[in-house]
Amino acid sequence: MTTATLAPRPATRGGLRPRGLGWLIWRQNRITLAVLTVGCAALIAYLLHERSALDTVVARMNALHCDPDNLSSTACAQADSARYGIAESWHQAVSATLLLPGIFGAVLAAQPLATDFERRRHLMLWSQSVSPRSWFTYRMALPGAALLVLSTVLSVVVRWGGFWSHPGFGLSSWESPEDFFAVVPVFPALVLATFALGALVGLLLHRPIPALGVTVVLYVALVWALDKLRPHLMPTFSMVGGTNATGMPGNAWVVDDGIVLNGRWVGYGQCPGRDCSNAQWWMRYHTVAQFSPMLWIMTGILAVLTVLLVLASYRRLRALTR
Amino acid sequence: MGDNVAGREPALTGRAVAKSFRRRQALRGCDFEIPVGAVCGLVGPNGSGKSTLLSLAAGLRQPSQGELRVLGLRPGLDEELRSRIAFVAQDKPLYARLTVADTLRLGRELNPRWDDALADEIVRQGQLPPTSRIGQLSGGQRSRVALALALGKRPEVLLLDEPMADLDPLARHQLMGTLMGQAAEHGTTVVISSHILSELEGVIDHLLLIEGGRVRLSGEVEQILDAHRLLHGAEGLPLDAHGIVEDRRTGRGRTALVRADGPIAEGWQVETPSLEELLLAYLRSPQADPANSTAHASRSEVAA
Repeated sequence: MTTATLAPRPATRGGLRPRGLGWLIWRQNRITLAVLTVGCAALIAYLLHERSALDTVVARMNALHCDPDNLSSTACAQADSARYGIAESWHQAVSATLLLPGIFGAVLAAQPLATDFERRRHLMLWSQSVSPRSWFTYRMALPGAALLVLSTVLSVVVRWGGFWSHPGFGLSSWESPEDFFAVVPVFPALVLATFALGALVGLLLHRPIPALGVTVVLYVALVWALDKLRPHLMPTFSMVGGTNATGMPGNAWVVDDGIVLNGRWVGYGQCPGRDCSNAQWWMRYHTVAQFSPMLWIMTGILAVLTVLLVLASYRRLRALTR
Repeated sequence: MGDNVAGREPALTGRAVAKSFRRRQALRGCDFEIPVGAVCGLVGPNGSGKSTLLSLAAGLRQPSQGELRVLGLRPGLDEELRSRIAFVAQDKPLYARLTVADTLRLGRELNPRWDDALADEIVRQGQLPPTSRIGQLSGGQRSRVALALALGKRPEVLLLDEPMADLDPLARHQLMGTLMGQAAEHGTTVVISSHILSELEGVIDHLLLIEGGRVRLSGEVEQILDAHRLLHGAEGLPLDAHGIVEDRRTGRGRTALVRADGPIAEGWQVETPSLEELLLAYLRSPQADPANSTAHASRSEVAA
């Protein structure tokens, strides 16, 4: 018997071709990522088309000198109806966009990881010359980077079309949770947090179908909880007015309102059985100037959540090798 | 085969190795040494701890107690060791949607000492088209690809968990030949677990018998066989001076497997047991004392 010692293969220059673990992760995810890229491109194209259609309708209304409050002519009424139709389509597309993080987390993180463990392929992977930690880092980093790019581009388009471009014409409203969570910078952070959540679920459950389901349910719960938290991210303003909403700042997000009864701020539910016709109203609201800071605060919360989920995933991975 | 492995540095060393999973104790107090270059059979009934021991040696898990070293290093903790060990799990897990060629490329991409020619040769022996998807292959063909992935890594220690279980006799013969040829040529230490005892006969030169998570036999096969005697005789013949592994009635007489300690009494017909006879006797007699010729003498009784 002789003991042969093989020298490591010299590194080969392959240009941009992925190598090592990069190749494996690319090989495993390329079809899924291609489908997601095409899907995101189609959604972006649709949003841009709707935005362009809105510009056309608005230009037509301007040319017809339509008064939005008094649509006397048939042409103006048709144009206004088209404008509402576009706004509705836009809102539906943005709502659909908000489903994507859950799908990304379930399909790109939870399901493949759970399947690797269920079919014990991790034993084969960890028996190669790479550590479980390196494998998991690549497993997360490459699809995560692709998702970051895709979600950033998509959410920039949503924010541009809904908030930055002119005329806005109420395409988006920052008090709506769909519009708030689907814009940059919150959306990419939400995508990454859900991706990390899916990875942790996959590492914990080791069963693909439950991992898919649990990731989606946890994502819905996460968005619900964040939406409940959203009004409390910054201090609210409050005002007491007459018997109507005159004096309310433009584009304010009213988070709570009611009437003043006997000097106390109460909800409208206190009115039945009483005469509230002359009662003053009160409201708590956020001004539109708080929109951008609130987006960044929410992004920070999601970034912290992502870091915690990634740390928990590495901890779980370590436990799996103990 | 059959080299005297005494004096060689150990490829695997276990000192009081224990592993528990929640409340289940899979291994307990395992002491053993497997020398470099040995072809070691890891034998035991289902659930005895063979797969657990192999997964510890592959660095996929860590012992709960004790110490396990492979080539003097700690598997799973010392990074240098990863490229020097290969492991094939019992169910040969592979990616069903990858082709054979992609699977071998996986090996090439993830292993710095990858031997393309060897991996290709093993696959070619099985007449597997490189473009076939793993999911379309039979169990035996998948085993062949899994072995190609392990051998292509050019490991110094090869850990195989029931590698031949789903191969047909011809493929088993071919692959065992390739395996042993590679082991002999490169001095690879092979630890192979198997239920098919006859398959190990003439292949292994070292033995590790595990039962109930404990090492019952460990050492060089020749030494172990030489230390035992298979006795056939009539009822009433004395056996007291020897370590009795198994004593059973067979028709009008008795057959006993003993660890011979001094001369055998008159009247016994004495044979050296075959490996299969020895292993079956130990497996049928869980109460028999362990015999460990490689572990520390302070911990275990020494055979022979």
